[in-house]
Amino acid sequence: MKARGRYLAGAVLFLALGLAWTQALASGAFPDFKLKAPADPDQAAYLGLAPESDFKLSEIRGKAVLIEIFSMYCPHCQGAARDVNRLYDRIRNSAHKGDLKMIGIGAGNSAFEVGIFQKKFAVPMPLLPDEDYTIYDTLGDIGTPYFYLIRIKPGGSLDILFEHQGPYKDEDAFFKTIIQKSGF
Amino acid sequence: MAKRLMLVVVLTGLALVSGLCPALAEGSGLLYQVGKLKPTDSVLKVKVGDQAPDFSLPSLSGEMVELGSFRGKKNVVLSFVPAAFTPVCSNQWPGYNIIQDIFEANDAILLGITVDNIPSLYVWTSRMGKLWFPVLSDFWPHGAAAGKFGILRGDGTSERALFVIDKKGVIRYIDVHDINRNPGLEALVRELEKLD
Repeated sequence: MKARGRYLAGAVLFLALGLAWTQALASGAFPDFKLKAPADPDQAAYLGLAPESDFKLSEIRGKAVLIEIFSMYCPHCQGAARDVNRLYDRIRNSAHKGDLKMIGIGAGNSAFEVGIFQKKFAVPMPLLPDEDYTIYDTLGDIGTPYFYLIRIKPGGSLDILFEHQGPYKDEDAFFKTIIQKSGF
Repeated sequence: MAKRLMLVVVLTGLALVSGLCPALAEGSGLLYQVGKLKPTDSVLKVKVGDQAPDFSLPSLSGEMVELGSFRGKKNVVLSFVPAAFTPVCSNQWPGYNIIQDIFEANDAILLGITVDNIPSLYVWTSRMGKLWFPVLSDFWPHGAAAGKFGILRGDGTSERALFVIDKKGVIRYIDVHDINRNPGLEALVRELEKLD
């Protein structure tokens, strides 16, 4: 009976959290999802986190984050991987490297599957699993790859600055848009 | 504001109900949304340890592929998927397409099989990029190979099923998966690594 009560309480909390995230998205805010930091110390340090620690997006060290929602099963994401790698390198070599971070979130992918994608395409940016589609389902019916540029406001809330669905065709224009929308 | 909230709620609900896989959601107008299906709808005719039933099926490249031809040469993974142009199926094989090295390291070949005809398979798989593994059509006699394994569903599609068969032709692993979900890679890779 106690276990059933705990289960019900958990279900209610899950639904309430989902509704809150959905409302946040509708207002132009981005949900402050909870994730696990990369095991790789360099990648964790890039985000200002301890390896494998639980964190919220708002805790990433930076003023803005470019998030790629991808799937290792998605041919479009596979095809765009090298372009995204170049974008990451370009940002890391820019004057905004401390303020603008990049991560990938693998929709429906386990840590194992994300690891396969990372190795196959030599992806330097942190890739994090969303194995049970929690994040993907909250974001709605988006096609992958999907890019969100998020601003981390001083109080810790998150605003959506820019969204883009699908691979980008003009890398230079995309980079400039990201920098311009970031408002640095 | 209220309209946007409603739109997000509706879209989120649709994604949850349809089980829409994200990978090919872009251009998903080209995919037929099947909705949620009965997880499995057949009775297996084989079990682990059995000799795999043989079959010979036409491939996209035009050759006939016989399962028995790999005996003594290669481990074989059979990946039956239910139907072309449906969401989960359209995402499964592109995942296998980037782990050719894992198959090769375990001396294994992958055979992708559906009950669709060759022209349909040609158009459907051309959207996945160049596949390194043979794609076979179990269209005619309809679902004969799927039927031998006991994975032909009542509606004429096959289950979403994986069979790992060793070089002696013995079935070493079976996963008749919930048709609504991608089986994932971990379990399959683990089984491949157990093979000689």
